[in-house]
Amino acid sequence: MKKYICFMTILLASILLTACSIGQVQSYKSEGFALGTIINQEIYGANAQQISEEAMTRIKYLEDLMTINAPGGDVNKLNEHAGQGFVALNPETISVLKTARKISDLSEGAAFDITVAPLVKLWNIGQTDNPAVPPAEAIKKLVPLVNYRDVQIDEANNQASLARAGQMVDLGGIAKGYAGDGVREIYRKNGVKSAIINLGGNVVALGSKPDGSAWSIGIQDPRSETGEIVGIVKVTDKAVVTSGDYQRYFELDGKRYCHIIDPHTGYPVDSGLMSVTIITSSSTEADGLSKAFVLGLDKGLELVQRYGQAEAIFITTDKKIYVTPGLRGNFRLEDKSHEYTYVEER
Amino acid sequence: MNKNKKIAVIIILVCNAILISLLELIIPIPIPVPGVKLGLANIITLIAIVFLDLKDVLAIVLLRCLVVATLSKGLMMLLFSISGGISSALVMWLLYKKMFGLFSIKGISIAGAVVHNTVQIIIASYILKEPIVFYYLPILLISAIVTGLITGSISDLTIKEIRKREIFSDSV
Amino acid sequence: MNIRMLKKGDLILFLGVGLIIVLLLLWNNLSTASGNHLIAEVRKDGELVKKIDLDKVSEPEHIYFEEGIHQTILVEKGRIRFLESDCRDKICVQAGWLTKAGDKAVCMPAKTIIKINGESQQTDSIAF
Repeated sequence: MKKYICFMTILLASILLTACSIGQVQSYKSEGFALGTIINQEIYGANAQQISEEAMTRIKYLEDLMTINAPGGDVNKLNEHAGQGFVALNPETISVLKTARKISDLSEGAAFDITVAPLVKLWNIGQTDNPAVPPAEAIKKLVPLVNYRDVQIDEANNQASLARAGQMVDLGGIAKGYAGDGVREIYRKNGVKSAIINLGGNVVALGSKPDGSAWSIGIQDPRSETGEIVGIVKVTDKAVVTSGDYQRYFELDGKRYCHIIDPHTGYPVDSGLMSVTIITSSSTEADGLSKAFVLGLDKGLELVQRYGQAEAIFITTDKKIYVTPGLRGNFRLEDKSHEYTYVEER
Repeated sequence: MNKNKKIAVIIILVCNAILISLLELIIPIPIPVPGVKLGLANIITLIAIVFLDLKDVLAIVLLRCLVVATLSKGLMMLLFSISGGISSALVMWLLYKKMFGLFSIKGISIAGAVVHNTVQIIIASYILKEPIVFYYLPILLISAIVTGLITGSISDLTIKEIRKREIFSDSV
Repeated sequence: MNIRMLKKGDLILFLGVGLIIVLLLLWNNLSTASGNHLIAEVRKDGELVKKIDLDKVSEPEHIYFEEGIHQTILVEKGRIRFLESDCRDKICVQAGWLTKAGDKAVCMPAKTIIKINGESQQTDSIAF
């Protein structure tokens, strides 16, 4: 009898143990706040907690350098000395400025221009309870100040300058993107093979999922109040970044004023698009390139194609979804609202 | 056993079963799974199966369930007690009368406990309209083996003692 | 216990029940949805009373049953439990927190059941 009880116990125990070990690789998840947004990390592998903390430290460091919403930092220093020649800056800031310049060059400042800051400040969209359309005069006065070519970079001596007084740089357009790339570097350096980070909507996926399959990234429905998605894109080792008219905006007399300002007109973008999502390796470039949003569907798609190595999802205000040819196999419509049309061929 | 003695024995067994059942309610069970309990009344059922007819056994089980449910658990639980009690009594009676050569009293007791718990969880699933059978059955079966062994051992001893002292025989 | 007191049928019974236990455990293990997106369901009398996305709970929330047996269910982020119950055995309260897919707690006298369904998350992250 004892023998049988023993036998049964051992049998049961061994079954339970194997059942437990069959379970999936556990991930470490963390949530933090930086760059004015929520940062979600999911890391597979050893020392995940320590690595996620290192990543957060890095993001906060970059935030301190690039912020224009708090005193101190390199970008504030650069803006304060506008029109007064070169100021010495952190090599990191120089590197961000260089990347920004490169992305601005792609559209020759039509889509993305880091010197749009004076206009952003004037409109102050999403930062005030009493939004208003600024007087046309004020806008007209500021538009000539916008020119990314006036940011001069002296890489050898780690210094930069703004050509004219009153000009301002705002790296908000690529800060999250740049931080995303920085975090991915930290993951790689620590030998992480599989991780995903979401910086307030900017997604950077490192490698594939632990089981070797691609990550599934939801693309938000630009008109959903509850954050529903319109589609899912499968990616491996890519950044997925969206710019849209829904993240920060105000409505006045039935018109929507979104937070992205057209550098050429000085007015919030009204290009017939609701959102542009870019999928490419560099999260900084994805962030900058997503400002193709400013250009509208045709010119925007053209910009993405000119850049090469990037795929994109464009959602128009008439709720049509356009996807670049290279993405067609990896995009799936998941539209619970049934209001969107997926346009496969143009 | 003559008729009067038999009635007396039945009454004694019913009273004992009720007492044991009520006593059991005081004993805390550390496993929060519905249906896990010692089932001490099983001892009385087994004794009844060995010494009495099937209809007497069923009467004892029914009476015990009725009284205990009225005194403590409420009528909803009566359904559980009766279905579990009757089905396990029937199975134990079958095993004892028809296959005693194969099973010891302990084995019969375990079989009874297994049937008792299984029937109850199936009824519970039906009432809740939720298939909790698979979820709870493994732990209920393990518990049935343990409690069946305990009650079976006690029954075994008691039955032997009753036989030895010829308590239920007419000569006493 | 003495091995001599056991009969052939007892052994068959033991092995049979043991086998059933093992099979059930295996079955439970395989059939439990492994998803980490936790959706809790509260049912009473077989009717769905409430469905809660446990990942989206920000503030602790109570669910009260006032009719018949009084019960309180507490919901927090990622977990749910019977907090109080007027039933006799309090098995439901003793079951404690339900935290993972497949977890269940029932109160037979009140015919209440809480269970967590694991749904595998459709997306790993959302770009917005």
